[in-house]
Amino acid sequence: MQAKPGVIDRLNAILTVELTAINQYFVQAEICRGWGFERLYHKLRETSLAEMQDSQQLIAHILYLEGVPNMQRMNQVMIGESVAECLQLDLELERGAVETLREAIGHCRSVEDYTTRRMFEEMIASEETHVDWLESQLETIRQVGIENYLTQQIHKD
Amino acid sequence: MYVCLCRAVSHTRVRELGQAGVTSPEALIKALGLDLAECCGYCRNHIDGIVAIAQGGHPLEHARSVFAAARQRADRP
Repeated sequence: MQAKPGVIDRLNAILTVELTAINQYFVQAEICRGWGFERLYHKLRETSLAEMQDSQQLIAHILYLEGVPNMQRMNQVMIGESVAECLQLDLELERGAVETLREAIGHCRSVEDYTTRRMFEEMIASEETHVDWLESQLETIRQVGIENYLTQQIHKD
Repeated sequence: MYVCLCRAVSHTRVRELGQAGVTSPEALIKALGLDLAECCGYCRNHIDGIVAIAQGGHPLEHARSVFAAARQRADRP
């Protein structure tokens, strides 16, 4: 099926964000495991896999619209030197993803591509849950202090 | 945070160099090896932010401007 103008570009732009997010969460998960924070390892790894599922959906939809998924492009992967820094960098990444998706949803509405728009809306809902989780972690750290927070991350749930 | 993964450069290292007086873009690129073939060049596009860290700026500010630049590219495909 032929895509409406600009839709493949939006799908590829979001694919770039997702591919970056997969790597960022994946490596941060392993770093956290190395530091002994088993609980964070599982959470971050799970998030990485969720981003991978989003990527799969994007790739399938680009091919369905007779486009070429751009697997070549990736943004800078941001890795912190501490848990708190990693979480802050993830929050920045997610906020960026939400903004990019919001623009793409607006575009899909203007060219009347409702299928792609619905897919983007589902993705924005999922990214917003990541933003919410990250904001909660940073707020917990602010209230209980980093040592107390990290003590809770040593064991798996 | 790591300002360059290709060369494994942390902001702590950049700040140490800054404190030792290495604060110009050219000197930082040379000292950190950001001009070597192993480096993809992404960090060099945001050298201003690395200079800011060397001068005592917060690494998160640098991260934000890198994300903002990526978003601008995405918004105008």
